[in-house]
Amino acid sequence: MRWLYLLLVFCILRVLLGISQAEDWPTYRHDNRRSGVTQEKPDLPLNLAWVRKSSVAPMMAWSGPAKWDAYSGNKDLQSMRNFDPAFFVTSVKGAVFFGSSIDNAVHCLDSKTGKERWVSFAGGAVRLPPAIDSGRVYFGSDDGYAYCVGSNDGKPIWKFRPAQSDRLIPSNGKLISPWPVRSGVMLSGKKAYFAASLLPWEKSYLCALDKDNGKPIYISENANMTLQGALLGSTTTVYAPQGRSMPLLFNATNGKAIKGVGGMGGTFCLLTEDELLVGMPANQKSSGNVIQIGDPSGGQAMLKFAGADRLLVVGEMAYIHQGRFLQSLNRIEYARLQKRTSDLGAQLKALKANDNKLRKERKAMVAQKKQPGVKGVDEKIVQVGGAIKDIEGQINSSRQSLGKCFGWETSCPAPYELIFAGGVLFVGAKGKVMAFDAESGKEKWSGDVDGHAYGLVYSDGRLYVSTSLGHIYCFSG
Amino acid sequence: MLRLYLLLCFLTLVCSSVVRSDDGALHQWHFTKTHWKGSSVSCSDLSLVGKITSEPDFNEDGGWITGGSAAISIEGVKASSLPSQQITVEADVVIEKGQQWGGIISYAQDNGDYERGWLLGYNESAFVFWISTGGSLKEVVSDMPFTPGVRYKVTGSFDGKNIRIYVDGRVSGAASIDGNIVYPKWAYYAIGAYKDENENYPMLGRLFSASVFSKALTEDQVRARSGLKPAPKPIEFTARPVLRFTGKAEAQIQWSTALGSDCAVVYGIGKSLDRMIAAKGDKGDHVVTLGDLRHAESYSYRIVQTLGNEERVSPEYEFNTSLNFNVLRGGEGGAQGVVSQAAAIVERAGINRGYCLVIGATKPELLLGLSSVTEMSVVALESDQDTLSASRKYLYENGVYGSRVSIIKVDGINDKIPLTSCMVNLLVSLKRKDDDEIRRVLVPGRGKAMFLSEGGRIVTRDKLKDSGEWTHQYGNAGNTASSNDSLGGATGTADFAVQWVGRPGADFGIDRNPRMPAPIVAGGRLFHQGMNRLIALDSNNGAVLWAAEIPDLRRVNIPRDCGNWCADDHNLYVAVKDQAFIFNAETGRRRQVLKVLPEEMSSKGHDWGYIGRVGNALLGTTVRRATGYTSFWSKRMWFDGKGANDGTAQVCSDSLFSYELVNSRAKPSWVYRQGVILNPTISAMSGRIYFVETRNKKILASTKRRLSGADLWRDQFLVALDARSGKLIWEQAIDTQDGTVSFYLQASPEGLLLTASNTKFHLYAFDPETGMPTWKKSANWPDDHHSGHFQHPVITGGNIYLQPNGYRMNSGELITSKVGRREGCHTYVGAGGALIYRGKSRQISMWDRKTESVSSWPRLRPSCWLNTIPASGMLLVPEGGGGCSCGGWMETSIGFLPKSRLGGAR
Repeated sequence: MRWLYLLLVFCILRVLLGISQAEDWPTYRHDNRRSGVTQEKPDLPLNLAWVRKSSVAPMMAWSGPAKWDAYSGNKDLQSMRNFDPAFFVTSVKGAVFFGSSIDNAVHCLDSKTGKERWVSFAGGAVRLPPAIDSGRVYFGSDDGYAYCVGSNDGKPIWKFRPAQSDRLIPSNGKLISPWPVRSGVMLSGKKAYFAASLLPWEKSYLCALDKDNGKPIYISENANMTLQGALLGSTTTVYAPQGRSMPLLFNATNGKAIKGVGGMGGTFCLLTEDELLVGMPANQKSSGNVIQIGDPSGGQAMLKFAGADRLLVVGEMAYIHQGRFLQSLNRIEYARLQKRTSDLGAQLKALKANDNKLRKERKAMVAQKKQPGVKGVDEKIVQVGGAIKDIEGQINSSRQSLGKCFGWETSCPAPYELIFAGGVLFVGAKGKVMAFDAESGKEKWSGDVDGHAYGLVYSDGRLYVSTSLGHIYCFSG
Repeated sequence: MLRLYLLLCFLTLVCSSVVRSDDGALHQWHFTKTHWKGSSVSCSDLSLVGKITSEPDFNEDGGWITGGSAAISIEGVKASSLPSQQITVEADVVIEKGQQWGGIISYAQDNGDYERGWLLGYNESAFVFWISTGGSLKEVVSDMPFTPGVRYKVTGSFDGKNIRIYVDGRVSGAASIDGNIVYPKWAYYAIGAYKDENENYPMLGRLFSASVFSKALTEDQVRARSGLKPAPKPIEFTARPVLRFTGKAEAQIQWSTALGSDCAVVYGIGKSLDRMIAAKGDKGDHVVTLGDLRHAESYSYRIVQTLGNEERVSPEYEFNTSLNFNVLRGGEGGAQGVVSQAAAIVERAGINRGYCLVIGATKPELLLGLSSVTEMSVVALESDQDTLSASRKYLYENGVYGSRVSIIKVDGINDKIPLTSCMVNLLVSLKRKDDDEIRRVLVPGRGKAMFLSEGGRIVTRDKLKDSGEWTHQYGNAGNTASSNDSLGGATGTADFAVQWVGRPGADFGIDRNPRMPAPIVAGGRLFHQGMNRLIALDSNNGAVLWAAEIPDLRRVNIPRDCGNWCADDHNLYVAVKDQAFIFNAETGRRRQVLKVLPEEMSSKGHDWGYIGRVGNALLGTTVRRATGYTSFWSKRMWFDGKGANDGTAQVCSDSLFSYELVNSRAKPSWVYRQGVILNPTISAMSGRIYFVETRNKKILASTKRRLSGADLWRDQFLVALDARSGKLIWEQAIDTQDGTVSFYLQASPEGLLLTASNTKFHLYAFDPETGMPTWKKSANWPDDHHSGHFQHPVITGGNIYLQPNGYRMNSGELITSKVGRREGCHTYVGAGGALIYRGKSRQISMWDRKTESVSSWPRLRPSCWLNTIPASGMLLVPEGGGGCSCGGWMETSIGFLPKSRLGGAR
């Protein structure tokens, strides 16, 4: 009875003090939608608990983007393939895991101390963090294999390579398969999904394996693709980014390619609960950064946020950084109004065309001296003119309402990562990480780091920050 | 040092004191609110009044908001009242949005070919100033883009010989032009719009003031009017600066000056020159090591020199640490004895860079030692799992696993090696004996295998049969645009396997490397240029051998000029302004700095133009300073047009000279001076140099050497010189069609080919022994855009290819009209049985000469002139087009090996 009493007291205290339950962060950006959202509430302020420093910065798969497109006059081109700028971590049950593009391994650290528990080597760079499930650790490597190792000891359980060839080729001082696994491994139900792909003129493989034994459920061979960056998944669909080409949709059941999401690109993608895909534009034509929200099924208008670096979706709210400001946005209402404005615009265009046509008719009638007809046309012109005025008024009203969809706005440096943890927004910036109250936008805390904070994870009372120098910081309350 | 500190303060606070002088403006306009009366604004010349149709609007900053009807256009201003011999036009302006035709202040007419007057304005992204001296207008474009919404002081000046554009007091573009300003019969005096008789494009932005002067203000005057102090004198470099990254967070800058003096470098992140470090060295040779550089940061620096009481300053240069390709040296934990063993192996083999394969990982200390004493990527093969795990752990704990050393699990140590062929520079076998598999993975011609169980016996893989080189801009000194590489019989893209992929990437170059010098390949090394930088890679595995940042390297519009480098097995020769550097090809050490000949030409303002190597002769030409093309910003600097103002003017040289090379040292040999040499025609073969020069008196008397116009095509001679002595072998007066769009000369054993392009291609063949003409042909352009109208012919297999046609070189007989259709700006190159070019869907494509079929690599984009190089038995494509922002390009450097050369590695 005593333990029951203590449990009851604990639960009451948890409710009263608002302490949320510790959550795991078992995969890249928390879940297969890459939401970056956890309901675990942080206990601010945080203090540096430990830091694991790297002597070498991550050895990224690709070089940075061109400085500019001088021909087109575009500056500040976005990198569309920087899916591995830091050692992103995952965290489950007191352990922190990360893959390394330097030492070709997955590492497991003790979350309290940062001390290494084990290291498990692959045959090539590991560019995305492992996914963790039921005591197992899943990851892909540039050597062309997907791996499964035990989470307690890092010992191999299975590995699988879809390409027949074992030929390794040089790449940036290392060796890679011409079919490297640069998608990470995504777990869903009994399946482990990954892509082995690099060159559009070679085959690309989208694979689903039985995650228990690594046996293939299907291997989907495809042409003219370069699948790279973390896969995303809904219950029915696998989304595969391609960098400088549009993300592709695959049927999760059989691996068949469905379509591409036109107008989108990059490797920073997230999938909302209502099946909208957030990503970058399909090309680098815009000077500076742009984030978009698109409907993969087509039909719904895209939302574009010029100057945006990162975007986060929590229910109906979106948090977005544009220019120098972080702001909140009711994205549902914003999208509704955008669509309404767009529809009204189409109506206005049709009315104006009609007006133009009527005026030409009138001109012809005047020339032919058909006076009675002119009168009738005049009446129609007046009617159409009234409708035009009405629609223009509605458009203005709709545009004004669009501005009201934005809630708070607060000054904030450009984020390299943005996550949500129990009502707190964590922003990874150059040389620091910051926390803002998601309701008010007020800054609650900040901590210094060395390098650009590309990776943020909040799990089990700890904030993990992965930087461009290869360092991993742990802050705790 | 105090003086240097003060100079540093001056450089960082250069805008702090505003020194404004009137300088005697002919027209001075002020547009802030107090200067308007209603909708009128007056000028210092009271006869001029600017009017707009409604009340002016003003921004919070006081600027007059232009756009729509808010522009001034004054009629009736007589051209005779405007400056004709010299002019300066200045505006204090904000541009909110760039546009194709942007005017700030002008008196101009631009109707098709009728271009008269002057205009200070802008385009989509940069400021422009142009004048007309009778023919087509002459335009200078600011070398950096403007930022919309930012206020600038923009100045254009013309002194009768030179046209310049300044942004905020700093020279941002210059060109030479002779004559007086020629005005239209009638024009608007327009302010705040691009307006002439039939065009009116309002300027979206703000104006604060504008002035017109009837003289060319000096640079110091322009600087003063922008609040800058007079420019310090430039440093006279006897060896221009080169920056090399020498460690993970370290860079070294080396330069030399004529006079022994104190030098220092001021530098900092971004544009802040907030750090200073004194140079070491004596006798005019200086070196500075910059430490604690941050990862992936952009830095600026200047070199400052103290000469008595005088300071001299270099231009501001840049570098970015994301282009630091240095590897981390192996840890110091290795036992000394094993490091010694590694050192002994490396010393015996004489190989320090690239990939090292060790068969057997039972000696992890040896692997650590190899990573410590070399710059190689070390890969080991191991079959025993326990040994593998223990060795990996050891190397991981010593901080080199993955970054410098990796171990691959194999089933059997004597089994097939899971590596691509032809990629290993040094193979060290602990126990395995020599076999075909070991030979297969070695780099042909250079790769060595050492067998430790056989007392360190060394074998070297033979060179591939029929592999070739690409030592000059168009493959060889003869400019054939082809190599003698058979590509292993590959004639289609499916015949190749990817051999390596990776650096350099798109951040290395100038977005699409617009008409830049081609990469070159010699001795198994691939050299590639980017934005004022170069890199040396191992052709066979893409390993970075060395790289250098050279601030004055850039040269563009090569179709109207010539390449700025060439190479042989031992050296890389690079022309940099008035000098040429000889680099050790393997290490990048600068062996020698050469001046143009005769040496006095250097002090007279001549740069090194052509550079080529024939036998023991290192050839060069002198080009007057600022004649070569260096601007790259905007569509115009893509040089794809057909008019004289579209970058079709030929870069020409005043002299041709030779250094004799003996054991990699060069000494002056001879100088040839006669006419004015057209750089794109300089070619050499079999100990002879061929070129076209004009001896037209007007041209000879002119100060210009970037030439177009009728005189250039008069009094031309085709000349052959002996490369060793510089003596004339023959010369032949020629009168070809004018090459107003392009003009190339190529030398092949079957004959010389001169190709002039104006409205179509005109081909002229000559006997290389006598210079006598043999045949001529004309052919229509396939297109008049994307280089279609100035593609460089390919001579290969005894044939000429100039899309869409192929001809026999010795007779001119037409052999095909089905050359694979180009769809992009990369010109054709030839090798083996194929041409390589930018074809279907603007991807790198191959055209099989025999079957006339086309194949392509999806999403692989070449540069905008030439970066697909058939050499070293491979097809090499160092990145050159990834900055083209529109397409889904792969944005990487890549090497292809013919599958026929893969051996067992499939």
